[in-house]
Amino acid sequence: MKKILIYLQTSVDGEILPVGLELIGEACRLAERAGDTAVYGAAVYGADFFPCGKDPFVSSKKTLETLAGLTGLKAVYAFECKGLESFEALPYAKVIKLCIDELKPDVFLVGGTPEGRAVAPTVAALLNTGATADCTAIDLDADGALLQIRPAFGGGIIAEIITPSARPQIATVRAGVFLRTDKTEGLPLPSVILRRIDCESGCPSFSVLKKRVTGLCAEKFEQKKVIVAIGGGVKSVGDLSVFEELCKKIGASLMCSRVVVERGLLPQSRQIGLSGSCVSPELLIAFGVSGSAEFLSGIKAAKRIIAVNLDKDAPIMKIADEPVINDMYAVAASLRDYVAADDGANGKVQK
Amino acid sequence: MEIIAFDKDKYAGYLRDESGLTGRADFIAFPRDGAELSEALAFAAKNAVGATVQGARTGLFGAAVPRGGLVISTEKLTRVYGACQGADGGYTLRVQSGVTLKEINDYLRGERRLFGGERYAFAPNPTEANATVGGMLVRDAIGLNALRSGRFSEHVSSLTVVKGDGSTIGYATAKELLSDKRAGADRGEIFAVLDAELRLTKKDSVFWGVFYFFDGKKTAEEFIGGLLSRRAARGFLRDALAALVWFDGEVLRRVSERRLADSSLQGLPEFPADARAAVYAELSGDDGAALESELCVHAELFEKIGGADTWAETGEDEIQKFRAVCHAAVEVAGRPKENDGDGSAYGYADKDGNIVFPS
Amino acid sequence: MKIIVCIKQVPPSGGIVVDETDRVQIRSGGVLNPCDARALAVAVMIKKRLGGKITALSMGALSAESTLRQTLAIGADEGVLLSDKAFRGADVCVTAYTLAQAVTKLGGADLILCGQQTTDGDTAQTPFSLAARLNIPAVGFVKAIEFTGETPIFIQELSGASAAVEARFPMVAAIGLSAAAPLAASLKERLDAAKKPLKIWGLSDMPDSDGSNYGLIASPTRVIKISRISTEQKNPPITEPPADTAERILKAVRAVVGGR
Repeated sequence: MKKILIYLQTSVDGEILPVGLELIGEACRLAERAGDTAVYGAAVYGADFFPCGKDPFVSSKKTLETLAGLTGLKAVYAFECKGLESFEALPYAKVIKLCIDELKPDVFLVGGTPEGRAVAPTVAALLNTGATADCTAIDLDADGALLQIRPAFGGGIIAEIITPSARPQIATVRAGVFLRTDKTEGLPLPSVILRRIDCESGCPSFSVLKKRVTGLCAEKFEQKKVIVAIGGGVKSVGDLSVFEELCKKIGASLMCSRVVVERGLLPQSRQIGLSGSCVSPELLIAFGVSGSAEFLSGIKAAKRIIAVNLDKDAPIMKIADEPVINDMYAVAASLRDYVAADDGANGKVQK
Repeated sequence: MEIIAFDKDKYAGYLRDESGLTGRADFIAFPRDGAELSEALAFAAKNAVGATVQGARTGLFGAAVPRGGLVISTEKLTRVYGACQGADGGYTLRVQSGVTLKEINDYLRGERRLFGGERYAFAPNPTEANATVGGMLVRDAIGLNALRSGRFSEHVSSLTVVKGDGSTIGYATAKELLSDKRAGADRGEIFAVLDAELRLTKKDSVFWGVFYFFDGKKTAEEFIGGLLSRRAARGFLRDALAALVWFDGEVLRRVSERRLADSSLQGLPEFPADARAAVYAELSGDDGAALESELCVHAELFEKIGGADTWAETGEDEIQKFRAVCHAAVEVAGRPKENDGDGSAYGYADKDGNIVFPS
Repeated sequence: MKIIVCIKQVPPSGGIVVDETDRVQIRSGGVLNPCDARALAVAVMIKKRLGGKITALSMGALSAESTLRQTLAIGADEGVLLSDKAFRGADVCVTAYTLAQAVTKLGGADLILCGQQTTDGDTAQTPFSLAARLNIPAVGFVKAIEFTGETPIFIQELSGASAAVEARFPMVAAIGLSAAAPLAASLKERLDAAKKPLKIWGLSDMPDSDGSNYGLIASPTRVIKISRISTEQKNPPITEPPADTAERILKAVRAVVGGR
């Protein structure tokens, strides 16, 4: 019997982070294909099951209910830790190690949030095993070997990585790379295994002076069904405004590639790519984006891609459904005219 | 080869270069070899339309902007024929005119690309690595290292040119071509470079880049003067000092403004707040110890003159971030449209020690 | 205060070369990893305020010596290069083990600063793995540093929040690009760097000198295959007037969101 363990992280309001649900979905798919595999979850909480931090947001009853509702898992370990007031890599990793020592999973999957990306290598070091960060795909064979795939060596190259003998095989995956499981009927509900741990006698923790909550889930801002992505062709705030207006008019989200964020034109939350967000819109319109491996791995789940670029050899043009060789500003100007005409003739385009 | 009727939407990019000016054209062609280049020029002559030959359109002065007629893009003339050794023991590399500086450098840096067991390089280093051989040749470009390496034409031996009537002629030196070109310009004669033989030089093993910041123009001028007279007097320094670049306060300020938008500038701190002028010097050679003792002399001179801050790096990879500052300076100082003419000054010292703006 | 800054020499951008036979990166010179430059700047800032000594520690090929000299010029007091054929090909787990061995040999430190991630590895894991090996706490994804009196405060990026964490030694901090501006060495500092001590340690200098605990052999993970991203064109490129592209886009948008 092969076992996959998933690290379940919660948001400040007690909900399981979407990346956790995505990992459950993928793990269930892997389990079905590989056969004879069960999927488990593990979640770590501060005293009285508050996610972390001094201010309680959910009661322990709600937390346990949430965990008990995670279809597809065979069981969920819930660790209530006395003395753990806020997230810290080493104490959390030591708790997870307890779970791993008991369960002995073949695979340990972690969502690629800042906390997850801290916990995974820490757990790996404690267990002298390997962890592969930011996988874009994984696969499990009948013997329980995990194939870990990620872009490597600066981009342009995809590497396939295995952990031949050390266990568990650990991989982190960013939000949006996998899809949640759709079907819930017929799948079992997990049993919840409660463990109370005393962390106070562990290594002394940092004191967190203040914690500024920046949003429910800094992973994504609201992504609409249509996303307009702008790239290196946008050099200044002035260049930006025509696309911002366009997005407002057609009801699209404005996102961008890494270089636009580096230029300080849009915040990091708008970045598409492996170190930004993985998006899955119905339609992605890319203007002046060349399409680095990093960026392209963020749009794998886009249903339809129209790419506008003057460079016909730009990597994004190879994979776009409609690669259009054109000047992004000329097209944007035309779009503005069309949409203005629509506004005038028929009232606003419906969103 | 097709002479294509010029479609303004499809070929919009070919009406502009980095000067910000926009032109117009009636036809466009992309020759792939000498025969097609001749065909294109003959077409222009036969139909009495002008022809504008384009490289990478990276120039700042509108040379590539067409004024009607036929646009001839050299973007398909990208063959690198390979290197060979001449009778004098030196090496040359023959390339077509559409080959860029970056492509030449990548070729020479190739893993097993050694000549007689040594690394060779192409000396001229205008900071725009996407410029083509043809483009750099016809404007006789100067790079950062104009002080040691002079102008582009000094590093070209023979070349092949196609004339306005479609006939092909060879030149033994670039100097001859350039003087013919100047002479023919009044008659409206057109030349298109087909290929050129580039002289390679043995690559140095030790590189230093140093930024000197001054709180006033006069001290900066004094410093450059000091370095140049030392160079004139001492044989070693003449060889070791490869580049001297001049920045005045306005250029520094404009480059500073670009820092956020340009990731190539983010490996360095902000310029010192009171910097009103700066000098960038590059030294290279094979004797590291000798270069270091030369730099000690510079440091003393700098201190004596009353200079304030310096930044220094060694290693060809590490000095790239300094060269990025020079490249940014060309862009902010150079555009004729944006330059309000009040003398935001930037330039490279040439072999005679005069500061010239990169062309 | 004893500060160790872990630095890495990485290929200049666009310059990563991989040995296709064993899928290990070929290292031959390069530049100081950008995040590490920030970590060094933070170290210099903290030393200025609190006093102490900065040791720059790096694992790499002998060519990495030039980058270590650069850190000495910028403000490190001594440099240590871990270089040995036996160390080659190490994954994150073993790299961290090797660094931890060196930290132990150096007698530990109050503060170990690392760049958040490297431009060639790009995993952001090594600082955490190193901290776990040393059994000390780590603060990752540091985007800013503040001070209350003599105590550094690390502003850390987390999910949905940023936390101000009071330093408590010994500890590891992983510094991001925005935390500090890189410093540049002056000419005098760069020339004087040659005088500062720089040691090169090999396998036999490590407390654990068993070669089977280092390098590719000891790494729990293996790269079994690398493939270049296919450059096959999925659909033929379209050339049309901008107005047609605008129509094309609007049509596609309406298909998704409805409307006229």
